[in-house]
This record gives sequence, structure tokens and C-alpha cells, in this order.
Amino acid sequence: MSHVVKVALEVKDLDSLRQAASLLGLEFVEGQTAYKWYGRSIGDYPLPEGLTSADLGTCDHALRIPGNPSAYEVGVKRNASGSYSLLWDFWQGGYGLQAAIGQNGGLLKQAYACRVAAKNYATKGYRVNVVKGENGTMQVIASK
Amino acid sequence: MKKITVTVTPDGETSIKTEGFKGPECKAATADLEKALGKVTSDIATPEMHYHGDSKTTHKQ
Repeated sequence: MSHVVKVALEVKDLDSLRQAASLLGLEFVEGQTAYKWYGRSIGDYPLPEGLTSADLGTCDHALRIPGNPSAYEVGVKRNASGSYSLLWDFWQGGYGLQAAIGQNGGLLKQAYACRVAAKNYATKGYRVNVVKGENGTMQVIASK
Repeated sequence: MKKITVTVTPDGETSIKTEGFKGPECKAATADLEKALGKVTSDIATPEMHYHGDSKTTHKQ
């Protein structure tokens, strides 16, 4: 081993997000400017950093579950830094959304991180394998 | 063989481990990915990291 790094994920690559969404059965809708949610904030949960209640429901793109018109959607909202926030309403599990993206969006983040890693090393000439680990973990193994 | 393992939990927690690199080469191998993924929250060097190439020592008695 040489070094071990931990990273706090930020969504920066929309192509990888699109691919990750597709892996989970979600559709990336480019340019959709409003995502489906309850419709108003009742203030029972803190807002994401940098956002106000006026920002809720608005986005630059969206993720939705095709064939499930009742499900809430994920808003993909560009931040001032150039990265994207993922916004969704998890009330009643988002009527199916939470099952697709995981608790706190964990499955979507996992799929996204794996896509970014695989893409990064494939373009650098590494042999890349994506494998399932224990307890639901995924591993991207790059070697040369 | 040089190997990089990126492990992602179902919560999205991400860690990157390198093996088979000499000295600070491991840092260069993960720098682009770290930037692409987000913000590094911890970075722990392992014994192999501190190798800086072959060295010869002479012992005098």
C-alpha cells in the first residue's frame, strides 16, 4: 500500500451522473427546470448549505423514474462553485424515489463515484474492473 | 503491478487505496481522481510511500 485517501463526494460530471442514474433505472432529463416534490417547505428539516426555501423545486436538470408518475424527482442544481447539488423530497420515501436512489441518495452517489473512477483510469490506460464488495460496497479496481 | 482500489459504500463514502507505487508516485496516481470526486478529507501515507528510490549505504567498523 502507498497511501489511503478519503473523499467527500461532490457531483461535477453530468455524464457520469447520467450513467449512474441509468444504472439505477432513472432517467436524466436535461434542462428540466423544476423537479417534483411536495410543493412547499414546512421547515422540519434544515436546508442544504447555500440554498433558501425559494430554491426548492427548482433545478437545472432532473432525474425521474420512468413509468412512475407518482414518484418525486431529484433536482440537479448547479452551485456557484460549478459543482451540482442533488435535491429531493424524501417524504413518504418520495413515493418510490428513495428506494431507487437509496437512503440519503447513497446508491446514486455510489454509482456516480464508481463511474467517475472507472472513467478516470480507463482514459489513463489502466485495466479497470468494477466489483461488488461486502456489505453493499462497490470497488473500482484499476491496474497496470 | 500498480493497483488503485476505489471503494464506495452504499452511503456514498469513498476511499482510494494505492498499492505497488514507489515513493510519491502514488500521489500523482490519484490526484486527478481526487479532484474529480470532490474534497479530500484525509490522506494517510503508508510505509511504501516513504520510499524514494534505491540507496546504498556503507558501513564502517
